[in-house]
Amino acid sequence: MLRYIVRRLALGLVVLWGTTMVTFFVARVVPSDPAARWVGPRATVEEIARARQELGLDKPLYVQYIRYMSDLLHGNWGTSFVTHQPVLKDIATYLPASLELVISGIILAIIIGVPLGVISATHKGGLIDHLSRTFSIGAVSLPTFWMAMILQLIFFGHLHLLPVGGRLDMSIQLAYPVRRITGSYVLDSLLEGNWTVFGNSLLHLVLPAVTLAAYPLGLITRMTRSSMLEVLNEDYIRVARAYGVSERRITYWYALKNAIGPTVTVVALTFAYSLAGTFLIEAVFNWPGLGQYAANAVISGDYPAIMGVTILVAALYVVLNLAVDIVHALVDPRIKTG
Amino acid sequence: MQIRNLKVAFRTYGGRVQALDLHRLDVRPGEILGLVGETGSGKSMTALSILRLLDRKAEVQSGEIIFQGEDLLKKTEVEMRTIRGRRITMVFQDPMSSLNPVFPVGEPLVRIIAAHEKVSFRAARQRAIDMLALVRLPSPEKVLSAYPHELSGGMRQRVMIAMALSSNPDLLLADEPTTALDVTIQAQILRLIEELRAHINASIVFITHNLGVVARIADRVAVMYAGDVVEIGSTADIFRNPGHPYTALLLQAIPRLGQKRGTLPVIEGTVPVVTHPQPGCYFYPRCPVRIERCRVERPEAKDLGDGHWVACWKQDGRLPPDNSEGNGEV
Ligand SMILES: Nc1ncnc2c1ncn2[C@@H]1O[C@H](COP(=O)(O)OP(=O)(O)OP(=O)(O)O)[C@@H](O)[C@H]1O
Ligand SMILES: [Mg+2]
Repeated sequence: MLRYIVRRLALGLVVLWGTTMVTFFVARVVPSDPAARWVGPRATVEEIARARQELGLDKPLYVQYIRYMSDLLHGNWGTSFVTHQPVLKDIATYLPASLELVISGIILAIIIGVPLGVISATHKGGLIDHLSRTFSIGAVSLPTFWMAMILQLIFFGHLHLLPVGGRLDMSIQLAYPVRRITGSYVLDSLLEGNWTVFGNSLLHLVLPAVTLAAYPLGLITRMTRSSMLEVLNEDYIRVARAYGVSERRITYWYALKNAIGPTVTVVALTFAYSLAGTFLIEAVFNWPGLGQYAANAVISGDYPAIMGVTILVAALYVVLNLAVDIVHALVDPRIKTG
Repeated sequence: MQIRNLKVAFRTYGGRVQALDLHRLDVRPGEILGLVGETGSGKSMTALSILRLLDRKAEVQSGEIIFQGEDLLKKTEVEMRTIRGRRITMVFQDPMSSLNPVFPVGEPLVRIIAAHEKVSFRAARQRAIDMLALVRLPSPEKVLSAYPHELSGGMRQRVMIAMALSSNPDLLLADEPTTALDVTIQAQILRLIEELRAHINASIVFITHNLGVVARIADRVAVMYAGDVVEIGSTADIFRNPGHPYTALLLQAIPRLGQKRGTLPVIEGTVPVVTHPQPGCYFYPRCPVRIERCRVERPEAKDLGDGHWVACWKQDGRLPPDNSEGNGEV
């Protein structure tokens, strides 16, 4: 198993290296003048030229790439042209907000999607099944920003139950400073026992997390339903029935363990996908996360930031893929990891 | 156990298929009853009806299945769960797919024993080990923690037999338990069942295509055709004096040593799929000795004595002499 993991990680490094190469050159195809951005709007032509030289942007592309890679291998992810901060520091600032959002969204999707898919399968063709299928198709196909705004309209505009955006009320943020531990307000305030911030940050999290959960929720429900349907037809399920095992244990223990593999894959892939694609949700809910940072980087030709975010997401894909395979191997002893 | 007038139909897109129209089947205490018949004749359906495990598309229309004085068809699902796997157990045809691939063999086995015997998991585990030893599995502890894919087909079927016997059931339904195994393993499993007879108090319904197997282990034989038992009697009676032409043809179909190749008789045609129940005998279209009455009137089972029942108007089971070449006109 350990050898397998090491081999897979080595392979992952190759993938990452390929990603840096592609991103590096593709990002530069789009015309843009980062040096001008670096020095600001009132800079003279000479200042811009000097900045270009300082940033190494005057060198041939391959030289720039080699320099970038050598910095990267030394742990230096470059400096953002826009924020003038080390990219790694920027990521550390924005990533926790995104992780908080994506993780809670995915957890929500799992908690609802898996049981819904299971019940849908055990009641195939029934009312619950039809409702859940309609629901999951809707969840997958509704445009994110539209759903976000509808939710805001209902829960903020009409019911006044939930905040419209942001991670905390400004007044609470000023009155109750929270020590930064994980970077997630919900977790940090919980760890500190700061209930005011905890409650308030949780309220802020609801709408964006629900919006984010929709797409994975639909996929998870459908995937769980179809693999459960398949497994419930297997002989060993009939055998379990023939031995008086209760339907509940058959469904949620003997069948689900067989059926969960594809769902695990879907969870991992939508997780990585959501982290890279939260831009819309973050924009609508004014959520200062990685999606907004990445979108800004692309718009302003902030190469180091683009590279940084891309490498991070690619690494996440590599790790998640490996994690999925490990989980599959743990669940199903027939899968060999050698 | 007695089955009377059991009718089961399948709802299909092509309409209703009468899968079972079983007039009469008795299983006596402690006996091994061989249940034989062609593919599609309703053997598995009969077993699954007893356990009330038919799939959702199947509908029991009428009849009764009396087990220990009570009608299983009137029992609730909860009551059935105390009977399934405990008083009535079943061994299925394919040991490859009967065991859950993602659990160690012992997980369901121990859990089932613990639930049925109302004992602790530790006691259940010990009982499981004893049962695995009883079915002659080497190193039972290892088997208990092995995954199904680590065991051979023969070993898995032994596990299934251990599971079926663990609750000391009153009725054991074995649906072609050796068909999926290769010949030497088949012989070993049969030998095991013969050896275990002393330990088993259960009646056994042994479903098979193989009349050789039946001759070897069954006390009595029931022959099914198109959803009904057409003949039942002691193994000796059935093999020596078959009363039904279908039985006689089946017996002719057994290859014998010394028989020339290519002379194996075939029964022309196939088991009919009954969508529109007709008045006459279902075997009529294929029957070499049919008479006009067989077309219009369904034969009732008659007792020829000694519990040998035959559902045929002719009842002598004699075939026309030229029949062994197959019957072109049918
Ligand atoms: N899922 C199903 N849908 C429709 N009809 C079915 C279904 N399963 C069984 N049947 C019908 O029930 C009849 C009896 O089937 P059964 O499986 O009991 O036969 P069998 O005697 O066990 O055959 P085999 O020797 O192949 O196991 C078949 O003729 C078939 O028409
Ligand atoms: Mg069958």
